[in-house]
Amino acid sequence: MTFTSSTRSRTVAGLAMAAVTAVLVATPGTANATGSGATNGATTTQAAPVRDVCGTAEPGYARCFAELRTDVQGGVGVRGMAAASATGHAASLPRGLGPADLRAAYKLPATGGENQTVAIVDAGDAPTAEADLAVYRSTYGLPPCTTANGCFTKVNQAGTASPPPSNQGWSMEVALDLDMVSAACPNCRIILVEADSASSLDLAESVDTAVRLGATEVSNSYGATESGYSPTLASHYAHPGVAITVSSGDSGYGIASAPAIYPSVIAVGGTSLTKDSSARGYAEKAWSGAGSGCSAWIAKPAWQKDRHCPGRMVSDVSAVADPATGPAIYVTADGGPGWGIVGGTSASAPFIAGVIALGGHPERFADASSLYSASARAGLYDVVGGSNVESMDCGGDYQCKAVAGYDGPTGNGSPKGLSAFGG
Amino acid sequence: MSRRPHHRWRRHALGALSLAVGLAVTGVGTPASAADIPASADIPGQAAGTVRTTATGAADPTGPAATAVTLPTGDRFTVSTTGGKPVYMIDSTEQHSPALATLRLPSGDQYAVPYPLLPHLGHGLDLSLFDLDALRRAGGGGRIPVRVVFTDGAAQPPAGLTLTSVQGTTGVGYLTPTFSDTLRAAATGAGPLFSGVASISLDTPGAVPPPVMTPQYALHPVTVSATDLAGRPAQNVFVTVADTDSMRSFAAQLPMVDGIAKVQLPAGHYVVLALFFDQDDKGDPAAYRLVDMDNLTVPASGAATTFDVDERASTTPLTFSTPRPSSTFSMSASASRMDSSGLSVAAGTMQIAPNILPFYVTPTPAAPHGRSRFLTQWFNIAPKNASPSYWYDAPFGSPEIPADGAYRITDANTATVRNHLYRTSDGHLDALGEGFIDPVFGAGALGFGFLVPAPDDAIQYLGAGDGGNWLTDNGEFGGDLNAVSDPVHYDGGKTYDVDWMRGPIAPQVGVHHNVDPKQSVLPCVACQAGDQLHFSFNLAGSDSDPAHAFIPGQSWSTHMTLSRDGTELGSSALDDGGITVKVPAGAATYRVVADTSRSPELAPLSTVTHTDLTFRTAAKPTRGNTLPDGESCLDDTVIAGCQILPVLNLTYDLPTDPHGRGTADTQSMNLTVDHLGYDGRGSNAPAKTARVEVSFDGGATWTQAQVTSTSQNHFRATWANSGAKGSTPWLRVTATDAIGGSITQTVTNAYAIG
Repeated sequence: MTFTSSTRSRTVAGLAMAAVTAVLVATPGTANATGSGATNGATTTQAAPVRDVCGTAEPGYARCFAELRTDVQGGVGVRGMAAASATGHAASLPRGLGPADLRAAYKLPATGGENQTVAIVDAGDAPTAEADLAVYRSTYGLPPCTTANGCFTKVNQAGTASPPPSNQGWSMEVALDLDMVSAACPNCRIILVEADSASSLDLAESVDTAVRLGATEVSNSYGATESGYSPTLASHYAHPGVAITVSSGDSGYGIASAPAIYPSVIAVGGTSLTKDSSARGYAEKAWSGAGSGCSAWIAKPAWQKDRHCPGRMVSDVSAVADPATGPAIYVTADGGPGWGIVGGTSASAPFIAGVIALGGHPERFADASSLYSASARAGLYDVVGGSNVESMDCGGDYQCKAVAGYDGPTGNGSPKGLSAFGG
Repeated sequence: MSRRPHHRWRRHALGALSLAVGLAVTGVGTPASAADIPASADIPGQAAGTVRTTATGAADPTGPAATAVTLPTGDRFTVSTTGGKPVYMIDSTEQHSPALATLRLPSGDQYAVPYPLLPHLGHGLDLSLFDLDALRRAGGGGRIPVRVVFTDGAAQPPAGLTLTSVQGTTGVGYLTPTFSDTLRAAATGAGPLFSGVASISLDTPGAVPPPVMTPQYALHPVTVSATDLAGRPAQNVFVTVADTDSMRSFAAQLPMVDGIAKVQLPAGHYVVLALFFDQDDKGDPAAYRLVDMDNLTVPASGAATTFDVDERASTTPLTFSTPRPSSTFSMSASASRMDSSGLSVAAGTMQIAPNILPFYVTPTPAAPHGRSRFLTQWFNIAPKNASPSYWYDAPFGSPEIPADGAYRITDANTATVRNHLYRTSDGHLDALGEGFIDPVFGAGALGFGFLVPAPDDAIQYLGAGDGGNWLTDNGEFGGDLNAVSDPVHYDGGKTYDVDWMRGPIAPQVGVHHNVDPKQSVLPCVACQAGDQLHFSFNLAGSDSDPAHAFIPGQSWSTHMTLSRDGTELGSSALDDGGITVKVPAGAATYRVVADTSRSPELAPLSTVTHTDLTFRTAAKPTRGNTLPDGESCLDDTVIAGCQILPVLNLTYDLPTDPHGRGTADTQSMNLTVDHLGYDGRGSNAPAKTARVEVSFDGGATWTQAQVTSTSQNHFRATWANSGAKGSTPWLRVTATDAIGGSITQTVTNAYAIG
């Protein structure tokens, strides 16, 4: 007899080749085979079709937190007024939030940050990063940021221009980071540090490289479930004088993600941001995918006072991350669509890094403590409404629900001008 | 008109569910809380008398301890205690409200809220007014003590509310029976319930205030420490931790580093499922050991907690023995834990030869609350060249992990299934398989299939001790005859004979059994719900076993049209999910014309069929035609009162040899004429007529067979096999029922003359 996998029962048996399982399933009759079927009734934005830019991380590695809208294929090339130089006529701006939208939503100035250098840390080479960034900035009328004019620098993990590391498929993440930093702080210099791999150690060492090269802010849009490895890398994310932002994750409430748990970083959650007729002009609530969690490995910082988490609670602050309401980005490598919309807390972390740069005082962000002061909270939009219950549920607690005051998905809120960020 | 995909294959998805690797929580709502009034209501029965809304299963509480309680709406209950547990009964002779939402809160009190008042809870009415236990404690002789807060100190209390004292904007008093009329009248209007009244709440020292919905989700640090056989920190272990009070709160596989994981957990009860992997000196896998630690506690005190998981506790080996020679091709074992809402975690292994390693477990008692399930399944195959082929597929399940891990096949716990595989020529290979449906978790454990020669016999020894159903299928390897079966239940100690591919093979709607939505999904083939009607066949048809459904192969071509009272409603391929249409209310006559054809190269019999059937729908739904609860009706949705359409179904029992050849001078065929059915539901209208015709010249001329009725719906046809040896007669069968239904079905090359 021969084992076969040709019909139904054999398909079932074929799965048996996976020798070990640990599964959580729903009661019969309500179950889906995979994924999360839990709904978040508080979120009013329609879920957008997305795919994770980075797949699941193996132990010791991190995944990026970018989520690409698969229903947006905006094509390639410069758009907006800048398109006239090539085509003779202006083209409409791409779908998704642009720099002006983000400035309006968060009451940010168009100037500032001239003496700031924001580094983004990503895994592997993004061969079209500079070219794609040029299209983005040109489209939105942002000043050029190129190697030639000294605004843009791309280095490997060692801090040198060459050799570049191998491509790790993170080009979309890189583009998102570059575009969001540009949107928040058009006049900042940018360093792209390309880690040798997506291993937690390589990424951590790349943060050190960024700081060594003069970064004043370092953005990290990646993470992995915290574990016993996590504390061993904490020192790489502690550079007093330099603000280090980290995405909170894209999987909703659950076990916290590192490096967002480190006490020396600003953990950035995610929101859904939509235009409305309010005085602000925008409504904002927790994004259902925003990561939040209570660390079991990192002690609670003295400046965090939330009641129910005895450890470091993620997150501290937030900005738009919902792919359904997300920013426009431009990327052509790794199957990028040209113009597209990408979300995830990979969007909010570099944006907040750019906001801190815009404020011009990264030295105030050796940790996130300054965002917890009463005066800082006055400079934040307190995001109320929505939750990030995707699989685990905290029973309506602040840890997974955006409530008045501090909460896990959105921290103390989103930027309302620069007052909370040193401006 | 809409089409839907293969419904049959949803059973597959369920069957594979437990094999999905990874972690996912799906489709379960948040447990009820104080601010979460259930959306569903207990609707008291219509008959006079008493209906128990919340029961312990004990005898009726008619003793002197029973206390009458009246809600502000006038609904009356009897509250008593039986066996230490409260029993609440509504007196439906004094029932005023059409429906009641029931709610039990952590305080232990039982609430019953008339549905019309739900929107007013917290907006003028306090939940405490509907606390049956508090009302019982309050007594009052027909008066309900209340506290009233006015928005305006000059406001007057509503009729039926008598104030005994007022201080500022707060008054204390009681409700009289007339208040019920006031309340029910006010509840029907829009806006505030009572003008000038902010709230009315129960005022009694005995009342237990409903819990304030202040989130309290304090987390506490927990360390999970795993130790290996040598007493060192375990390096090769998967640890899953779940909150057995509610797995929505926490259920995850923890990242272990040097035998340690840390996690923040809410107070409560937990299970730890740890699966260790032993390695030999070369670093190759040597054994698996499962440790199941249940009923662990994370205290609310805030003290640090450590769960110590020791591999050395896993010492009981799992083994399997069979009466006939066999070797293990696969074994699986998993421990599952379910919370009260039905969410579960599981940990275990599935192993395939030749890499089957020893598996050890820790004997563990059944879960003290929620449910636990240990399931091991063994698949053993016969030695090479055994004829006929045979194999053992034996699942064993129990709520505990037993102290004796030696599993044995016995006559009592095993069913013998003799499969007879029909083929027109020798040298075929069939893939015959089965998939087990666990009776507790519904999802399948493992499914197996083997290539066996056809025509031939193959024997499955299927474990029956666990009580689950089996899905079986058989497909011609490299051919285009593939059939799946409805769920089948086998009793231990019995022998079953199953024919596969025995013709005539023709489109049928099927007569279905073992319908259990908890175990498998078997969507209705032809049903109507309201103005929506769906028609399809049992995929592309059935063979001599009405539980079998054929999946069209590559050479198949199928088509059908559906008409209503002479007007065509739609058309579809038979394997295209069927036809769903909107139809007017009222009785109607429907007609379906279906054709199938396929290449004779791989299977030269039953190559072309033509079916022309009619059925009449009734003006009103009938109880006997109602689809069993939980089964999906239209487009994979469960619809109450879904009606099974009274479509005739023909089951052919035409004796032939394994090559499909009728060798007797006089050919016989048993014919069953019944209707689409699901576990006895569906039309039971008797067959009225049956006619069988045979053509030996390719349909040019037809000879009527002699047909006798052997019992209701059963007929026996006989005719002379007058064709030449090797010829392939056609059959044409016509039948009618007593409610105006009819079917005429023609099958070309229905069998061969041998």
